[in-house]
Amino acid sequence: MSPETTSQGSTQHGAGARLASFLRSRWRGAVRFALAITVADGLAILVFGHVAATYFASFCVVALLYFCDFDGGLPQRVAAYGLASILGAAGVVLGTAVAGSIWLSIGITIVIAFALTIARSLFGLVARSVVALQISVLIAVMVPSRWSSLLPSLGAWALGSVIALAAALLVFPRPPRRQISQGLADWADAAARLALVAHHDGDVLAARRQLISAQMQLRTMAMTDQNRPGWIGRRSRLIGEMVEAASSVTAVIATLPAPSNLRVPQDELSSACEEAFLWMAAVLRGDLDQDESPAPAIGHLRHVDLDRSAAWLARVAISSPDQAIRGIEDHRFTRVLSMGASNLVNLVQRLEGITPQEPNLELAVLEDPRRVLSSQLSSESLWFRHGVQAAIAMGAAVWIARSLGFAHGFWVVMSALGLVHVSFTASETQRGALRAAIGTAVGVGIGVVGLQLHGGLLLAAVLLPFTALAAKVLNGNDPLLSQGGYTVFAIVNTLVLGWPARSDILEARLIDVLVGLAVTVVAMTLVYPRGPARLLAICGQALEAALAEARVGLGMLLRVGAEAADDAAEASSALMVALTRFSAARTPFLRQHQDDGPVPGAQLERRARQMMVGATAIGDLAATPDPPANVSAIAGEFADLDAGLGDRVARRLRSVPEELLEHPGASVSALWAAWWFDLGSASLDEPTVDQPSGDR
Amino acid sequence: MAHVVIDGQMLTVKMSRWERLGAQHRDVTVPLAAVTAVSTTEDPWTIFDGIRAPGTGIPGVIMLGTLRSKGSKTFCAVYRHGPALVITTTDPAFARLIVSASDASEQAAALSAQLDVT
Repeated sequence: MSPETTSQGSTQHGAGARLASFLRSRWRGAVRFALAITVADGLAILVFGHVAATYFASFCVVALLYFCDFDGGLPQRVAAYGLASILGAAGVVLGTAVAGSIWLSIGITIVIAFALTIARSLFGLVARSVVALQISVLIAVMVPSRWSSLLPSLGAWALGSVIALAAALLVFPRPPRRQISQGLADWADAAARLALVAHHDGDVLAARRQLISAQMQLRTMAMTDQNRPGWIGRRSRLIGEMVEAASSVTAVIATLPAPSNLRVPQDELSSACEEAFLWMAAVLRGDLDQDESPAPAIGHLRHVDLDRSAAWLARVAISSPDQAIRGIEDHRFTRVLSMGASNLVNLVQRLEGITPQEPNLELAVLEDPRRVLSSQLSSESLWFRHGVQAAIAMGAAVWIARSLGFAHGFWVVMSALGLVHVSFTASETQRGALRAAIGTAVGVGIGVVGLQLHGGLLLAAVLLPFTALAAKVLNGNDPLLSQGGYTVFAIVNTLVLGWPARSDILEARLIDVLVGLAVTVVAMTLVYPRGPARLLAICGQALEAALAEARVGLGMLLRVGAEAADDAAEASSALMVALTRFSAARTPFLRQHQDDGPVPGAQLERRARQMMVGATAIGDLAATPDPPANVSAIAGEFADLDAGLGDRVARRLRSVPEELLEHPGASVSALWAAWWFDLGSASLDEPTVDQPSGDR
Repeated sequence: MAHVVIDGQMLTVKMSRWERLGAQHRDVTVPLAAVTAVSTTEDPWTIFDGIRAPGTGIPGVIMLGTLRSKGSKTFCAVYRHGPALVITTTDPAFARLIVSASDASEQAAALSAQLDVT
């Protein structure tokens, strides 16, 4: 049970805290955007007059500060804004080049819409920057721009870029990321204490409760800080990975019984864990300079610990095989903490811009951009499906607006663009899509009717910064508010840029929006009509299948050795692709369901990651130069998908105690791998302070 | 509502956004030189010939879009039973343009004078 659901009072408190956190994290960006858009519009009109080129200056600021709004350090942000500006300028040229032909315009719109959606699976600055390219192409195609106006258009885009960059660097330049960093630091303190008391026979259960409590607080903070899917910067992504890593370690630790007095010698590893977690906490709080105090190294100690565990097993098994196996099982407590420490130190180093010296222990999802992209080129990928939907909807919007000769027809396209990532058929997302559509229509009503009643360029100019401020604050919130806020701003903005307003502006905007909505509804109803919930389920099924295949492949590797190595590698690779696809599908789901409690699929993802850790242990076992005689019997156990694998492997080892003595290293690897697979088979709930599963 | 305007050497049937959506066509423009006759009809529904595609049509209420008959096309922007302009052209796109107008006779006379055609 999460803190938000314990009582009505705490629910309200949770909602209030989330709102406060939400506003805290957004007002700086909103002020920055409002100032920049006002200055950009004013200067653009001053320099270029009320012509089409001014749209490029204004929408450049919208692209850079409303959609992208990069975070990270100063050099990273300058590079990111620079890249987005250059991509946008390329879009101006590309859009102008094809604008003369309706069919070329449609073609380039389709290609860019699909490519942009697929690129979002990369979750990086490059992926975010592509939005500038898309917006500049769409404006150029829909105005439509002509070669004779290319220089003014590029000049206007450059003006917008300079203003946006200046605002990003001068107006509240530091991103508000401290809250989650503080939560992670608190969690690391709790983990350090657990490592300490586990080694010195302290109150392990109390220390574990503190760790779980810190984890629950961290999860609550993370839920209120989810970014718009696909627009997460490198720093945000690393922080997200750290939250996941902390969650994973906590969930596994919660399943373990408190260690007994049977101890594998672990002084060095326990101390290193404690030191690593304290180092992590200090760096995250900004209390430590990494140049003066480099990250503790744990990888070597983990290898030494494995050898010591094997030696201890061989020594104790002489008198009592049962106690030897029990001691190795107890030692998992420290091994899991050391894995978490190693992973998190690695991530903190990457967060601080330092290349880690040790490899990442946890086999993460694919990181090579080419492999990530190719893993998404499948109908099982959520991003692929949305890419096809977006391409068809955007292409159709351009075709209708251009072929019917709609003046300022980019409104049709912009309306479609706002909804294109929402599915209309899955019951769970229907409400969100409907709210987004209503938000757009209401935004048009408020924006246009308001200005029709009171009129005047001066009023529109005065309203501009306030509508921009509201739009940015509401961005990423409820679809109705988010779309409504943006639409009101966009109407006021285009009125300022295109003054004097035509008499039929209300009718024209309403028609544009309705056409955009209709096109999107039709495209999403006819093409891959499934919402994120069902797509996540599809990705989950594919991941389950890959899990089963990988497990069998690894069992084969264990049984017949090197001959099955290729099959096992292929199965592991398929698992990694399925895991990447599943993780990519989970991100937008998280965004839409952040207030719905535990995230569906989190257990499956954790299970796949545990499976991959188990796979490394199987690799160790298969690579043992003198495998135990009973290894084929152990391998047989691995081929069986039922739970209780750890017990069965331990029973096998006990049944032939001499194998423990002769092959202690292989035995430790087998126990370790079997336990990870058992974890993968079990459905681990999010642990709670009251009831860690290890205490049950 | 759709109406006929002359701009330079071109005759254009201008439509609102709703009408363009309904007709599935942008504003129709033909060269003045291609116009061979301007006349009126009291009930355009009696002279329609062919299949409407694309466009919007409800018999007796609205006929917006392209009427296709063997060998020729007619563009219509007609509402209910009432007077309408009938413009005959040699333009390859449309052989006739039929546009509702309450003052169809006056418009036809003005257009004829402007075009110098009868």
